Amino acid sequence: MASNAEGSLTVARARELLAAGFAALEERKQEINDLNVYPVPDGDTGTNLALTVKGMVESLAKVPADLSEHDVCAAISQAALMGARGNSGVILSQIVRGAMDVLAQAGPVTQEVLTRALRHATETAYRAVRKPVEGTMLTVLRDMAEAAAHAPETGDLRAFLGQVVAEGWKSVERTPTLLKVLADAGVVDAGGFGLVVFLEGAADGHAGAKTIIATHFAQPAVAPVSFEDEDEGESAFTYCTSFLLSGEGLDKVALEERLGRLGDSLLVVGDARQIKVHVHTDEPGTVLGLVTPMGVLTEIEIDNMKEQTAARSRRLAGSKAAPPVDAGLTQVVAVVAGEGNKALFRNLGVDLIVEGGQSMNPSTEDIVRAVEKAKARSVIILPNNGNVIMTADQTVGLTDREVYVVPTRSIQAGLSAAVAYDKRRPGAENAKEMRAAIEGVATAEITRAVRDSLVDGIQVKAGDFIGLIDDKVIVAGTELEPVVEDIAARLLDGNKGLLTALLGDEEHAGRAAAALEKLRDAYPLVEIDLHEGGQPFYPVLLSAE
Amino acid sequence: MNAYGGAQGGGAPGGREGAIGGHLNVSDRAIADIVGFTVLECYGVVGMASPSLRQGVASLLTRDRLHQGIKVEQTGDQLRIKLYIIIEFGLNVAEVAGNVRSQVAYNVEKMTGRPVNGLHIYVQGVRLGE
Repeated sequence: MASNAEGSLTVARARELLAAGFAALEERKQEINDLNVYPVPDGDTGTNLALTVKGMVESLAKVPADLSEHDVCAAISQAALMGARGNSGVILSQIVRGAMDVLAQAGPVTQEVLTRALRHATETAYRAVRKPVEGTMLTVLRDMAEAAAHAPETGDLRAFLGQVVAEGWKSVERTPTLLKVLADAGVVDAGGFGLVVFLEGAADGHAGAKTIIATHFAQPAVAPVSFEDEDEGESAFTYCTSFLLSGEGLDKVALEERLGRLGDSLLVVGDARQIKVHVHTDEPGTVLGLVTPMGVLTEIEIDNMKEQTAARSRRLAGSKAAPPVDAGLTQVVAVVAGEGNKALFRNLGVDLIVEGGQSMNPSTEDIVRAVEKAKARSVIILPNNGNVIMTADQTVGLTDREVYVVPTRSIQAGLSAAVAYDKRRPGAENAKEMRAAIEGVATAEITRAVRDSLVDGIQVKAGDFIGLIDDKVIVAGTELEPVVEDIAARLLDGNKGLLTALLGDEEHAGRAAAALEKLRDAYPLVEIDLHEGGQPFYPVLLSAE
Repeated sequence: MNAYGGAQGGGAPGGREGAIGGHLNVSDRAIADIVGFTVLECYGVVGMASPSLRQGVASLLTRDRLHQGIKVEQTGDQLRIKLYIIIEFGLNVAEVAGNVRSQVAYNVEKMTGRPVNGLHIYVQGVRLGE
C-alpha cells in the first residue's frame, strides 16, 4: 500500500502544493473570469483567486524554512489572510484557515485528517457570513467535504483526493440549479469552479511544482529588494539594467566580479538557483550576453536613466544639501496599468506608481509600500479605479506619512487630478485642488463584453464593443467605430473643449484612433488629444473637459 | 425622511429605452432594506452594528433592527450610504470592506436604477470565534 508517503508538511512542500494550485488557476484564469456573474459580474474571479494563491506562495518565501509543522500551518493561514483578493479570495482564505486549524494539530496527514480538515474548513467558511448563498464556492466545498466523509478508507491519498475533486466538479455542475442568476446567465459558479481547479492542481501537481516555482516566482527565500531606491545618485552609466536569472549552481561571486567590470551600482541577490541582478551600465547587451548561457532570464528591464536623472536634478535644484523632506512637500502614488499611461503620469511629476487596474487590483500592502517610498511628508493616492478606492482609504494611518486619497475612478480622472498637482504645495492643499480638478471631467471607457447579458437596460452580446460613461453601459454594437463616435458625442455634449483619448494595447486600438481622428472634422472647436496608453482590455479610454 | 430621489427625470440623456416623463422616488427606508439584504449575503460580514459604540464596544443588531446600521441620505440627485458592519475575525478587513462596497453599489443600482454617489463603510467590530 502506498500509504502516506507525503511526509510531513514543510514550508517548501507547502509552497510546492500552492504553486501547483496557482499554476492550474493561472492556466484557466480567463475561463473562470468569463463565468463570473455573482455577486457582481465584474469578470475577475479567476484573476482574484490566482492572485490570492500567488500572494500566498510569495509570502511563504519570506518565512524561515525550518518552521515546525504547527507554525507552517499558521504561516499559511497568515499568508492567505494577507494575500486575499476580491470576494473569492477572501472566501478561499477562510477555507484555508479552517483547514490549517486542523492540520496544525493533526500530525501525519492521513485520509482521516484531510476529511476532518475539509469538514472544519466548511464550518469555518460558512461561519463568516450571515446568510450563506447556495450554489457558490461554499456549496461546492461542503459537497467535497461530504464526499470525503463518505469515501471508503484507502491507503492512497492521491486516489482519495481524486474522488473528492470529482465530486467537486459534479457539485459545480449543479450550481445553476441552486442559484438562479447563474441559470439566467447560462453559467456555473465561477468561485466554485475556481476552487476545484485549485484543489485539483494542488492535489496532483507535485511533479511540476519546482519548475512552476522557478518560472513564476521571483525571489525565493530572499527578502524583496527594491531596486528603485531613491538615492541612486548620479551614475556615469546610461542604462539601468535588471533581470532575474534562474539556473543550477549559479556562482554569485563570479557573476558579481564579471558584471562589476561592466558598470556600477551592482546588486546581485539570491542563491545558487535564482539570482536577481541590477546594474548600471553602458552595455546592457553585453551584460545579457554574459548571463544568457548561465540559465534562464526573466523580468528583464532596461531603463534609460538620463531622463530620470534630469528630472531628479530639476527637482533637487536649489536645495542641494536638502534633507529628504525637501524633495517636495507632497508626492503622489498612482495606481496605473499600461506603459504609456505610466509615462503620462511620470510626465506630470507622479513618480510613485503601483501596477494595477481593472481586474488586477493592488493590495493594501502594495500601496503602503509605494507610500513608504515617498520622501515627502504628505502623499496623495490616486486609486484610478472604483474598486481600488477602498484599498487606498485603508492605507491611511498605516504609515507615518500624511496620506490623502483623491478618489479617482478612472485613469483619465487620475490624469486630470495629476495636472493640478504641485509638489511644493502642502498635502491638504494639493488634495483640495486635485479633488476640484476631477469634478468637471466626464470620463468614458470602451471595452468588449465577455458574455451575453442585459446590463443597464441594454442587450449586450459576447464580443460586442460596449461604451460606458461613468461606469454605466450606454451603447453596445458589433462594430467599434459607431460605439466610439456615439460615446465621444455624448461626452462632448455641453461645451467641452478638450477630448483626451488613451489608446489600449490591443488590436482594436488603431481602429479607435482612426474613428477619433475622423471626429476632428465634426468638432472643429474641440481639441482632440490621442495618447498611447497601453492599458489592457480597453481599446480606448476617453475624457472630456 | 427625505424621500425626494427625483433624479430620474424623464428623457434624461442616459437614454433608457422607452423612457416616459415622470419621477421615480425611492424612499430611504426602501434603499436601506436593499442594502441590508445585500450585506447579509456579503462574505465576511457577520452582522450590522449600531453607529454608536456602547462603552467602546459594538453590538450586533438583531435582524429587525438591521436598518439602524444603515444610513441613507438623499439630497437632490445624490445618494449617499453609510454602513456600520461587524466582520468575522481572521479575514482581510480591507478586502471584505471592498467587496461589501462593490456588492452594495451593484445591487442598489441594479434594483433602483440610481448610482450610489458615496458609500462609506465603518467596520465597527470584529467577531472573535463562536
